[in-house]
Amino acid sequence: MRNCLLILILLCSTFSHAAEREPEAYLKMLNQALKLIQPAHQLFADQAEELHNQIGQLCQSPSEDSLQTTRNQWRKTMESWMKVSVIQFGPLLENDSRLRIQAWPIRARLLTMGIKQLETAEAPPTLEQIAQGTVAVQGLPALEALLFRTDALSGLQQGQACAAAQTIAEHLIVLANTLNQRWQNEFGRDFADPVNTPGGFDTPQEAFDEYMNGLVTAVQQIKRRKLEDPLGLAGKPGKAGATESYLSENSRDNLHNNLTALILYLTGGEGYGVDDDLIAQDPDSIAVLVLDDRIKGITKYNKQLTMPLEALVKPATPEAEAQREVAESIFKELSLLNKAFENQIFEALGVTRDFNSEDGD
Amino acid sequence: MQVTRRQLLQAGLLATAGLVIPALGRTADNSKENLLLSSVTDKDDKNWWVLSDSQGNILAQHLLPGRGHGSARHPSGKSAVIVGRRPATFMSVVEVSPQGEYKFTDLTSATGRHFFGHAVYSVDGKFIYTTENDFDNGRGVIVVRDISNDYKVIAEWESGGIGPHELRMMPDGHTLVIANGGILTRPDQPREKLNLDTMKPNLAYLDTRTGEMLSKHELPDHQLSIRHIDVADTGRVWIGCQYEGMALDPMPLVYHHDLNQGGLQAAEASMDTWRALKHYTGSVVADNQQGIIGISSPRGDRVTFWDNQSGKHLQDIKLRDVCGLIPSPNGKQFVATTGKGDIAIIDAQTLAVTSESRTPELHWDNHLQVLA
Repeated sequence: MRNCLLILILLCSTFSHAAEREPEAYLKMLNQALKLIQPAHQLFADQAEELHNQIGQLCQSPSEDSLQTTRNQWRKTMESWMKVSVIQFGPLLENDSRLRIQAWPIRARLLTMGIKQLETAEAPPTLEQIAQGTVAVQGLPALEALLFRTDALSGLQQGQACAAAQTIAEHLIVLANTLNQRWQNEFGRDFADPVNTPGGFDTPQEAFDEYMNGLVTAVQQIKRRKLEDPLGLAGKPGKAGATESYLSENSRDNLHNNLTALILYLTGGEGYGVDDDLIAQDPDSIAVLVLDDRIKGITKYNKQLTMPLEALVKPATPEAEAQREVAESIFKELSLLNKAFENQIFEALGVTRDFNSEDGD
Repeated sequence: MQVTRRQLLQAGLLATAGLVIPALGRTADNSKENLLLSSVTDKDDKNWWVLSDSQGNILAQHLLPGRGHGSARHPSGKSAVIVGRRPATFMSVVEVSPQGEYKFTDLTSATGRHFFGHAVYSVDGKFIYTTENDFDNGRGVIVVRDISNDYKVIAEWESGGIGPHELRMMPDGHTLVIANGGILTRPDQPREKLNLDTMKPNLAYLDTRTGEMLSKHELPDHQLSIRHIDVADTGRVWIGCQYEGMALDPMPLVYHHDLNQGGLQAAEASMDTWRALKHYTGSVVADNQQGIIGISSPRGDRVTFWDNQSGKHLQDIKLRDVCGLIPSPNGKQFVATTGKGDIAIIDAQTLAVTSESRTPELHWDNHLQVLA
């Protein structure tokens, strides 16, 4: 019965049009979003700073303990990055910041070659050389390669490896601080109050439109790059090496933190989010129903997923088989969420999905 | 379907068809002369070919069976064709009578062929050339249709590569320049790119008098798909590429070529400009009056402008989700359209936006044409 009702409502909603919205609703959501986005960026900048400190200590006193401590700090930095990286618009896309912080997916050969060049160079790399060079040796994947590869400890004591790690980490601080400052200052102010602040946004709707499109881009990227491609969910064979953070086996944590952040931004945390806005418009609408279903589904499967994704590409145990099914369920939920945005949620919110930039020819 | 624009408006037929779009925004009087043609997708996901004024007021419309892509204007300026987006099997022709009547005619590709989205007319207006896929044999072809004989296919030539996309007529009036994108596709896997590791795009020149391939030119990176091109009246071909590989660093995406004068040359721009294009360009159009080339990048949210003579990047205009781009017939303006429903008029001398209109119910598709 519920399915019939859903189909009926879906059909009806297909032929409806978005109503004109008052700017106040957008402003409420933008202000709440900023309350979540700014601390996330501050945390990422702080973690990057701490990672640099830890790498400095590791290079000064190399030991298995200090390597482990640094690896843990890398994971914490990655966690904070995963919560920032779903904000796929604005400062993150300026000057290739996203790629510079995390050049991924990337051919393993490019990364290995880049690291080797740095290690075997006659002099340690300068900050400028890292910043002006290839993105393959910038940011978190390059540090992962140096910290998590086989025999990482002895590797760091060879040639310029430790100096390179320190400079890459220093450059990561620059990137994280730049991103953070944009959100704490001009960009953040323009985002939360577009009418009264000079900047790129003229109206609250415009700022909200970019924010929502950025989140949906994140949904699509998580779905495709982190699940579909590495797990082989679309016909092509999967590849363990294509999972994110393969060397550190951090793929599951990355996914978990991405999804947690995504839901936080959608719901506005404790404040006024997309779900509240849809309910305020019409608590019985299909948009409310589908968003609620997806949030519950993603939350449920996200908790159930416990194994690293690389172990699920070719599951070797019954447990891994079951975990692969959980990963597939997350994939399906994200696919449904993407469709819900395109078919119901965007229209209800009064914003439009990017068109040419999403599917050109 | 044959009604006048006035009849349509008076009878409210546009309203019953469900696509009367009120345009919002500021306008410039000098942009009213432009009659725009483009494929659009509406909020109900229906695809239309529309004729609109430059404020986005729809003057005529035609329902398409799928997304349209590029359109070509007949040399007379009184008719035009739109071609379906890969792997479409339709194209549609509109003719405008002196009384302002619009007549639409739908055509389909031959068995075993589908369109790649672009067409060009012969200089005398007697023939139309389309890029098509002979998908069973994995080869690109140029199909020639005789307009006076109900668009009957009268010839088919090898395009010189796989996945031919845009094609243009050279100023000599008989040489076609063809962007062979290099990407293998099949209609049963509509949007899948099947040969990204082995793709081999090229720019090819073909003599329409004989169907003979004159020359082919490749780029150093085999994963730079040559997609969109235009020819300046100086004979210089401008090329917009889309990168299909895994390299993450920025690279030149705009090239130019002078026939019989060596290989393809990268246009001159800063690394920041290349980075801003995000490995993707859309429309490529030449404004011959100003000697300026416009190239859109929907992923980079910008229109870039280039000097035809020097080959140098001039400046950019930021425009969200922009792709459609065309110079006005008098060369004084560029018109740009976006997937967000915006129509921007850009002064071709100052390269500044002089007016903007918005049709928020419409996604303007990749390419734009102007009817005189």
